[in-house]
Amino acid sequence: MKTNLGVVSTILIALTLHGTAWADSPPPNPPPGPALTKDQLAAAIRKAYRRNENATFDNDFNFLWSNHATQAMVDKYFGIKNPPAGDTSADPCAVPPHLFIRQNRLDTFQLRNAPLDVASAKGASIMGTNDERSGTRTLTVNGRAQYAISSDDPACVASLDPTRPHGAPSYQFVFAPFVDAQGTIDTPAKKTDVNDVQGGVDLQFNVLGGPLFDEQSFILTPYVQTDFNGIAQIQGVTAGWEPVNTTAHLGGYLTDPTNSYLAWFWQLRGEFDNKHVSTVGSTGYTKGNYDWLGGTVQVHFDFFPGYGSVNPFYVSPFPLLEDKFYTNLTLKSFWNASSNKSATWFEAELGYNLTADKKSSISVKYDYGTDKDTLVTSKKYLLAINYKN
Amino acid sequence: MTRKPSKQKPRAKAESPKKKSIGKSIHKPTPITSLFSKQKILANFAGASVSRDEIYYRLEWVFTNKYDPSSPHVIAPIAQISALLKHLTLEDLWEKLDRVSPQAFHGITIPWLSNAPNYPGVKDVKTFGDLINVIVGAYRKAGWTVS
Repeated sequence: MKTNLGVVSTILIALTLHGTAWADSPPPNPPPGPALTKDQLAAAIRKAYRRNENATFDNDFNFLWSNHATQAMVDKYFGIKNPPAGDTSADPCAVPPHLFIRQNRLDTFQLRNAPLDVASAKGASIMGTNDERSGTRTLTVNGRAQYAISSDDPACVASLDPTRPHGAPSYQFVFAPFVDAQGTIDTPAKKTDVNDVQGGVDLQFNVLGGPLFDEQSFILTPYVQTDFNGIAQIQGVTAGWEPVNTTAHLGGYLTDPTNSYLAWFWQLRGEFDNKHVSTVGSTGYTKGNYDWLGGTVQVHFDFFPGYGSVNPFYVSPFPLLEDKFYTNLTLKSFWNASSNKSATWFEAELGYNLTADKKSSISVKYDYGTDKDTLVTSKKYLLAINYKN
Repeated sequence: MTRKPSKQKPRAKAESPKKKSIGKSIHKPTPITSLFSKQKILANFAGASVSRDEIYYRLEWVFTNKYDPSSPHVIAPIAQISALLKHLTLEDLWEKLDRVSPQAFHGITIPWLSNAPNYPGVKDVKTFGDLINVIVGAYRKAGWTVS
């Protein structure tokens, strides 16, 4: 038995070593061959189409035949939708409501009709630790849930208007109630605990098109704020402005697969925040009125971006660095008209993507300055492991 | 950086920019400032027909700001549109196409909604190939012949 096991082990090890050596050796280069002529290329593509189409057709046919398919079942299978007879009242430009679950206000940056690509956003996070030795518990929450209800889609309305000049503005209104929680709470409580919970509604007016920007959003937000213990009492209203200009990479950009070195965009939000603090709680405020005027700028850099998903023949000049490193810079600067004081907060983040889909990363952050929402001054370094989905 | 076709004669050589009467702005990497200059409209392209490949190159110009019909295409038709829109939505893409239509697409109306299988709209675009089909459909709807 031992001998048999030894033989099996030896074979397995040999196979493993063989497999390893095989895997480590460079893949054989495909014969380059001459470029196909137009006719040859057309024939090759048609052949590939036929091969796939035949396989797909046979699979679909077998499935539907075995289910005794009717025409209605075929339509349902292929997602063919027939409008209900006599229904002419359906609004083709109507926008269905949408629920956002993101990390913060900047993460839902614009409540637009087509939700932002999840891969471009940070998710909400809740972290809890229970230290049995010291008898302390910590809860950290960074999240925002928001439900957006919109009027008609402005792109749809604009594209159906034959008299509208190219680039002329069209408009939309969005009603979006939200709950936003940010901060840390410890048990037993620590003096350094800073946290807040906001509830309110974004009343947003979108302008699609116009002379300077591709899109602009004007947002009025009445809200109430407290802390995680429900002690703080704060009421306020903010007014915000968020522009998009794809040419200037403001708010986002169209992928340029000819740029192998840097992909970047920046976000801008101008803001006025009127706040009345009745009870301070764990927010870091003092009692009184605040009239903050200022804005937030975020800049995102992706170094050596990969374009394999855009062009299968793309070859990065730096394959080992492709899609690995990113940097985010955030600056929040506000001036309090009531007290003539300023609050400026800066964060720099250098990250390394752990997975090819960029969902997991490790990053070093440096925070410096005073957060106007908490009035706490910080100067700290953080090492974070991030995951989003 | 894209792979250069190895020792391969550029197929589109016969369609070199000089031999075609297309406006200047789209021949070289187009400066941002000229993008919105109405003087540089591609009005020289006065025929009522356009090739699908020409539309392909013009659509790539919207993304890369470079136009060179003698070079290989850099965006594959199978590319998912989400990979081409960073922090942007299809509405932003529609707005951009609508804005540059006078410069790049002879001022045709870019549809948002799909009307029929042959006339898709930007709203239903899933891949770059779908987007090419949108512009091809829009040209046809405007009375152009697309070869």
